[in-house]
Amino acid sequence: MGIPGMDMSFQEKSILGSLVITVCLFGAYFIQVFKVFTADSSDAVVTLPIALIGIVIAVVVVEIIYQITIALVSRDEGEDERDRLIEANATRFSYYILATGSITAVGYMLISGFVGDSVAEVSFQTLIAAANMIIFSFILAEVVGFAMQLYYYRRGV
Amino acid sequence: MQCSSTTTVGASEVKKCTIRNCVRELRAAAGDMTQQQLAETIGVTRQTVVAIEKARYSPSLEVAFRIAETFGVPLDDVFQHGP
Repeated sequence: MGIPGMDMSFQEKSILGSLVITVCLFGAYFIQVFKVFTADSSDAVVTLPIALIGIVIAVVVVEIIYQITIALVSRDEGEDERDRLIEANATRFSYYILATGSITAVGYMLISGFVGDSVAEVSFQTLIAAANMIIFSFILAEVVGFAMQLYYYRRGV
Repeated sequence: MQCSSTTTVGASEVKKCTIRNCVRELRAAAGDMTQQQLAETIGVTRQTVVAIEKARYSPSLEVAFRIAETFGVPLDDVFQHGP
């Protein structure tokens, strides 16, 4: 009996790595977002875009290092029809999550506008919150997409 | 030939059917052809051949015909379906 995970293909290793990197780094970012909004500190909101840029750069750098590493230790057989089918099926789930998150964010902004006297009263904090809702739904869609791909690779498609 | 691999496919509104395949047995009969050799011949990855043999994936018609041509047998001898 082999060690679990050791028989993974290059594609599975690549997807699993991306899943872990995305969850860890963007998880840290969204913990910060949660702290800022629960503390109700409007000053701290301006730090979020800077933190986001830092996280995106970190994700890109870590991903590059990881992908180079697995390319050196695993043989990439390339993609075939099964890989494309798995990716397409997983993307279907991602689409619904991203669409739901985006519509929720737009609805949140509209409701915030109606609560105030005019749309112009939508605060910077509300805009940052709506932007983070969209970013969160995008990251959640990515994570679910990666997880579904791993599920299809293991359980069949 | 006794086939070992079976998989169930079909959308919920369509009557589901079970597809069996004899790829593993045909490889053995063809002088112990390796999964890698078959994969290279039919133009897919070795992981896809593994998935087909374990009935985790039903290949496209194009790949199914290439498998049959590789072993020199009709498609029915490689894949069979039933209720």
